[in-house]
Amino acid sequence: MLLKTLAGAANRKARFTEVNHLASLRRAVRVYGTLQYIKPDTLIMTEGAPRKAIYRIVGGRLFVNRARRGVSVGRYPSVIAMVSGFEGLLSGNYALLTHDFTTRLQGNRKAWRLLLRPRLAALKKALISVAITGHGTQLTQITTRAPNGDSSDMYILP
Amino acid sequence: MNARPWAFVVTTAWLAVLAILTGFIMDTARFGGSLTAFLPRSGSIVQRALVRGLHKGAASRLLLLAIRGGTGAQRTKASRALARRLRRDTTNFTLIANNGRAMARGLEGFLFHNRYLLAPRTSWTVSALHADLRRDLAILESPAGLSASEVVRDPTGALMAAAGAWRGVRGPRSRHGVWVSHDGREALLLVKTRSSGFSVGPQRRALDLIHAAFARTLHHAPLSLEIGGTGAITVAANDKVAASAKRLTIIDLILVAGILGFVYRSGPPLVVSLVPLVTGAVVAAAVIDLAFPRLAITTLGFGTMLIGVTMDYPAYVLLHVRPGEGVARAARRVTRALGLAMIAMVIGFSTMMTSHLAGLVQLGVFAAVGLAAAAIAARFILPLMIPAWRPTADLSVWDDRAARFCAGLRRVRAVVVVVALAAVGVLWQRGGLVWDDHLSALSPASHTLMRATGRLSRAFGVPGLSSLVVVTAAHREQALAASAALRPVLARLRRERVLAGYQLAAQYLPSVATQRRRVRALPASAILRRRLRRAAAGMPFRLRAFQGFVSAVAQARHARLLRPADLPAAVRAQMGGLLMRIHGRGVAFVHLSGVRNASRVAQAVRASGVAGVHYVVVKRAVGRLMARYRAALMRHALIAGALMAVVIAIGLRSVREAARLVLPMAAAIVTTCAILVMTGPGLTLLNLVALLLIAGLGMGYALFLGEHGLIIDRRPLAPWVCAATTITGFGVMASAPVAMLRTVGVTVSLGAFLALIFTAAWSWGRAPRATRAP
Repeated sequence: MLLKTLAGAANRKARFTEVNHLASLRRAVRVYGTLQYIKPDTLIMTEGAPRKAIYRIVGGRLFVNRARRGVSVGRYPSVIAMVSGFEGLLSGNYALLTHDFTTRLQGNRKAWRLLLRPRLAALKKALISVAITGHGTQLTQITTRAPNGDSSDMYILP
Repeated sequence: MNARPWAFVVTTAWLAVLAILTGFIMDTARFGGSLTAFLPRSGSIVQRALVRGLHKGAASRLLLLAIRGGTGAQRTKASRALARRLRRDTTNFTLIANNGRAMARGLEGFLFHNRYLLAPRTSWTVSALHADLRRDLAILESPAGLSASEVVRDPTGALMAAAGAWRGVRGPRSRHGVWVSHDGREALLLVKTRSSGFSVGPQRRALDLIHAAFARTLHHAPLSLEIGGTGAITVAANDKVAASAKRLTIIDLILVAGILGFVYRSGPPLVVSLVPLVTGAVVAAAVIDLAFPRLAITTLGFGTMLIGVTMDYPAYVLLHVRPGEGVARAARRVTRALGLAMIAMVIGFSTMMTSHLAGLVQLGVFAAVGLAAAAIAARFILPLMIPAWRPTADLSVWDDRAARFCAGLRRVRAVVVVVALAAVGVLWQRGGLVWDDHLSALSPASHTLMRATGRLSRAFGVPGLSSLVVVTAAHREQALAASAALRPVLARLRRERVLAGYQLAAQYLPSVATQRRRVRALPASAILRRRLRRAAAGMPFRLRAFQGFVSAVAQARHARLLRPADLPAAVRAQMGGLLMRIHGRGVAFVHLSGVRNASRVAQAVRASGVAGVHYVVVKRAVGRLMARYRAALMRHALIAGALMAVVIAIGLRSVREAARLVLPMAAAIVTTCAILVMTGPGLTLLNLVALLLIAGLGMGYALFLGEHGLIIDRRPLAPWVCAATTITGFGVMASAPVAMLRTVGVTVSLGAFLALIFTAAWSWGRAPRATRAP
């Protein structure tokens, strides 16, 4: 139901703020930029600060800036989680979500929370959970937790 | 005296002895297959290395599999199921891969664990560390930062550097987790066999196992399997030769039996005609088995061909049986002539034993022992088997015809002389160009399979064995170091697009000296911590996070240096063919692919100044090896010919008679050569062996046609019958679809024909005696 609602929405573009707490760094990392989703499988993340960079994720491959050769997102568990979450929700492709994660949906259409937990051992080593919250057709926050205490909170601005 | 039971006993005993010998050979003999086994074991270390490399090299052990038909999902499923089934069999297969993961099994852990020995870094200064940390920070501060926690475990990126050599060896592209061909219509697998790709038996077993496993994975899916690779070619070539040899042998037997049946008009002589040849071959093989560590298939083939001359012996004995005479007496009458021919040839072939080519020594022993055994069988055993046989038909008419024909030929001696001189002229004019020394000239493999193998090899990125650099040194470690020294040269050549790529052991395993240099460069823990602190100044790193890195470096400082045996199985399989111990010396191979300009590569390799380095174009080098073998065989053949002439002169006690006997035979051989050179691409090793057979056959014809008092009451028909069977038999072979058999067939039938005509032209002049007529 939720997926249908979200999938009905057109291509989107939104600003975001991401706050990462990493065990290896003394201070939190704040990333600002825009997110753009183009159906069916392209996600473009434009980082404005602290560095200027463009990440394009097309069909499971990550292209940094103007690179012609991408790397498989399989190397970055948190990216897999985010991409699966985004694309699964926005394209209505529920299979994409359930392939790598067990899912739990809480709340109602107005205010919902989708909790993803990795199925595969390899993913479990790098990721505890990804929680995606939203209001109606709007994604508002993606929270990622890693076993080593690292965490990431991405706020998507309307 | 009742001859029949006695004949039965002798025949049975003889069969029993042969059966025991055959059983003994089958039980104990270690067969060495292929022509490469026949190539010299002596010679330069490079040549020996090349032979070993070709024979044992990793590339020769790869089988390349393609699954076709059906849908993509069916192919994927079949690929997985096939790989799973084959992996259970570790006795025949050392590696089964249908995706990059299978190739990298055990690799990642190995690379991570030994990253400081494998990565080329030797600079650990503050500024070098600072540059690393800046890069790491950029990664951590990116949106992927959460996934990048491993950068603090390996802040200098040693793992990526160590894995450098492995990038690009993933093989073909993947779809749904299995390798597929470029157009996606085939699922691809790579199988490595334990046995050499040139061993027919084990390779056939491997192919059968793969086909059986594939059949069980099908589940009615409309899929087909194609297998390429050296092993597949070896087996197909072998089968092709065996199949057409079988068919031709049956035709042969019918035709030859027809001729002999017409002459003998009874069955038993037909059967015993095989006695000398079979005896000779079995006894010779048994002797080789005892005297040599390995019985080369080539020795068996060439050797049996050389002693094929003994097929004529029964005819010489039986056709001299006079009415009212036992076979034993006839045998006694032709003993001196047969004995002289046999002794001359045995002495001649014995010269091969002095050769320094192992294959040639074996061939010499085989021919000498086989001939002696066959002649003894013809003289002593054959008469006992059919003691009471006597001709039922009167062949004196044919005798007279043969004699008259000889007389006719004597009148055209001048033509023979002119033809022979012309032939000498042709060969003289061609000079060294009469030989064709390409290995492929002898290969019976189908071009389709060769092309399929080439196509699959390219899909897999398996280096073709077309050109390589051979590095020899006192031991493997030194060879490894020397080959590593070539890397800058090779890298430059690739940049300049002189070659497309290269593969060498040093890529996967640095030499011990290099590893030691890297280990010595690693700083002690206290120093590393201090440097890290200074390098991280101004960056938000928690230095605690680098504790794992610091202790890993401390561990690496005392790590045991890596040797080839320490590599994981997949890596060892990859490297096994690149670094070898051959005759107590270390040899490293560098496979080159896509060489555009061989002379520039040769020049660059020479100019590198690395000791013990040789650039080898395999085709040319194998050609040279073949040429060497062929030249040695030629030299020994000439010596053998001269010795035979001397033995015959002594036996006949007349130089003039010997010349009358030997010269026509020599003329026939020269003329055969000239005709073959004029009509074909050139002579090969096989032609040479066939010519030796002609020498033997021709000597028989000459001895039984000439007048020298060795044979009382000669029958001129005998050589004509022998020649007819030989020409028919080998003539059938000349129609074979396999080049190898065709070459032998054409050469021997043509040579036998010319030898008969030429020797007949110098035959004894008087008409046959009338006493033989009833």
